[in-house]
Amino acid sequence: MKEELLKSLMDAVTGYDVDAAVKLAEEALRAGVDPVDAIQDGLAKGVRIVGDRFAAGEAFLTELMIAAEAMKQAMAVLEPAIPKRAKAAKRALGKILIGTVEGDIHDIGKSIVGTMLTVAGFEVVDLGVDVSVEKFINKTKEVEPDIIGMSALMTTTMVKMKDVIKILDADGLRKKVKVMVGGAPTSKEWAREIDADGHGGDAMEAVEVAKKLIEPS
Amino acid sequence: MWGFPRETQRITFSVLSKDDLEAIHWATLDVLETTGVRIYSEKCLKTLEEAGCTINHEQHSVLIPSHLVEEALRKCNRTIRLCARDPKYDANLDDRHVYITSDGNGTETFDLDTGQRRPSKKDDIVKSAIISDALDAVHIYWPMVSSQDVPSHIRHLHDLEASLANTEKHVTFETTMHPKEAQYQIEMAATLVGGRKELRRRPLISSLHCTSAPLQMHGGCLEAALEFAKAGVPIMFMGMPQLGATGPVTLAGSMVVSNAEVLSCIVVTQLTYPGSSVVYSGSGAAFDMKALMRAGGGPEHALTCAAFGQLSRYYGIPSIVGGFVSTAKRPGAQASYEKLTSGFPAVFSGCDMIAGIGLVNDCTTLAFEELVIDAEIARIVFRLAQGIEVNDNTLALNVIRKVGPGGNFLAERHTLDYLKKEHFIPELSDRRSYESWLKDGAKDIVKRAREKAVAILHKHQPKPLEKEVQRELQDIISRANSDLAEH
Repeated sequence: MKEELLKSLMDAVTGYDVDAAVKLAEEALRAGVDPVDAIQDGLAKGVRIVGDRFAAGEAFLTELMIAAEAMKQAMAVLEPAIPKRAKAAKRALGKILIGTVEGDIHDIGKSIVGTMLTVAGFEVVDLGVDVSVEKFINKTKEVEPDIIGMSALMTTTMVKMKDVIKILDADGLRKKVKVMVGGAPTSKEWAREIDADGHGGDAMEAVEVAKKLIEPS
Repeated sequence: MWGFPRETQRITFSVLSKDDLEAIHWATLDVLETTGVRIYSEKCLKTLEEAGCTINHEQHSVLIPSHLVEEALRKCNRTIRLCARDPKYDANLDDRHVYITSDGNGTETFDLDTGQRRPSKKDDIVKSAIISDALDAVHIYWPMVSSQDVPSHIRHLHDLEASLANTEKHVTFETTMHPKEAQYQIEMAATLVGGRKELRRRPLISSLHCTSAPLQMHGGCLEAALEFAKAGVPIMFMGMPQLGATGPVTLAGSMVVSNAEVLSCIVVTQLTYPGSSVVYSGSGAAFDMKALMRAGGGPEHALTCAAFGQLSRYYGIPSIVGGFVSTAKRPGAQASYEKLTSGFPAVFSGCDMIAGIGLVNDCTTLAFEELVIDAEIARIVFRLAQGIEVNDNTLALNVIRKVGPGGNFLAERHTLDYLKKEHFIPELSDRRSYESWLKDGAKDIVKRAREKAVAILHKHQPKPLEKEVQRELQDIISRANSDLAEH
């Protein structure tokens, strides 16, 4: 019964069926399945399969996004049922805080990167668009991420990345958190110039960079 | 249904008005009645004479009265099925589909391993047939080069053998210049379907015959066409005047010359074997007065080919025209833009068959890379021709409302449901980011195409012919080897 439910959860994700994933999550709770197992061995497994398909050029981004959405909505059902202790032990690759910088409302690139990171196994906290310098700093203190990812689509807004980094330095937070940047006008040179730790040229590279940044040095 | 379905085509293209078409038709009748054509076959001239044409036997020339032309057009088979080893690949020339045919009978090949240009070999046919078999955008296979590594008197039989053995799609060819050679080709195709009677029902082959501009027809070529018609094998006649050299410099004038040549052949065919299946073809490439070369990739050729497609529809006969042609020496920028501009008018005007993909240097040189690139171009053109579908589902009000300002449409079911219907999905074009492209070796499209061609050859294997059929084909070729050597 449990194995079947886990497989059904995985199939709902690989079959891009959001509604089914949510219904199955509710069913799993009723059947007494451990919600952590339902996430790890059901939903996340499915998302990894779709992620592999995408990496192999066999799946489209929309399929990956729907798979991730199915996982997200099903997790909203499962998470409240996870005991506090288990929550702390929940295995994620790392925690990453992402957002588009102040004055910039371009969402899509940042969201795609967020999905890719989720698929790769990161816990992603998405602050959305037009995120002020203060909000980046305050949220960093609050959620204690391993990485902050900042996105910008315009040369006029990318300068805000520098401001965030300056304050992180001043507040002594840089020891605990790495910073990566991305978006069309940014480059490796820009990342070096503002003293960021990494730069992703596209969503796939962003994931590689994030993985490297959390490796114990 | 196999082929590009015209029912999904929203954008159409008319090069000529109805009045233009009639003007070309009337001008052609005038040429046939008053100037006439030369046909170098006593047998065919006799047939024409008996039907009431005026013949000058010394000149091999014939004046054909209009009523014979109109009658012949009425007698032509209206819909033609070009059958394939695998029936799912049957091509119905029914005015509702467009079929892409690999281009035929070059004499040079860019070697896939060395990249060097060299005379073509039988193995090039094997390889190009396998690749064509694998590519969805290639619907009909035409042996792309000649097997110049076998004796010339049985070369075309080897061409056919290599084609039939390495693709399950319909095979068309154009090289038959003698009725006796045609008999052997018919026998070979009949072997695959189980006899001549069955071949008439399921013609696995068709044969294209080119006229000799201006206003002439080779006797052996026409008699070979009649041999095919007798066996129920669809035939095609193609006029190929070069604007300014073997035809008038004007597009309309050369269309008249080409049309007169083709219609005279159709008259002979329908007088000899009434009701036989004839596919109409014409072309009008410019003769480049500085390069002294035929300009198959030029806009004149594109326009006349699309116009001939219209003319054939006006006659109620299926058409094959040139398209996706280039005079560029090898794959690259010029090849790509000429292929595109010479291909899309023929698709937009709804020609039944379009031949040209895979060869460069004006249909003389096979480049495996080009075959793969052209298949991608053809798919792009198909998507262009489909235009924009507008209805409640595509207007997408529900999903617009759901996503609202500032969201995105990536994770929406509507996106998944319509993606493949609405978007052209590249199979070759490189749309990756600069970084990904760089990391992957910064390859240009020709290199990518070569890799794809090699990958197809590694993994694709068309269903082989039965052992017994293979043996019989070999027998036919060895019999022909001694029989045809004499002429």
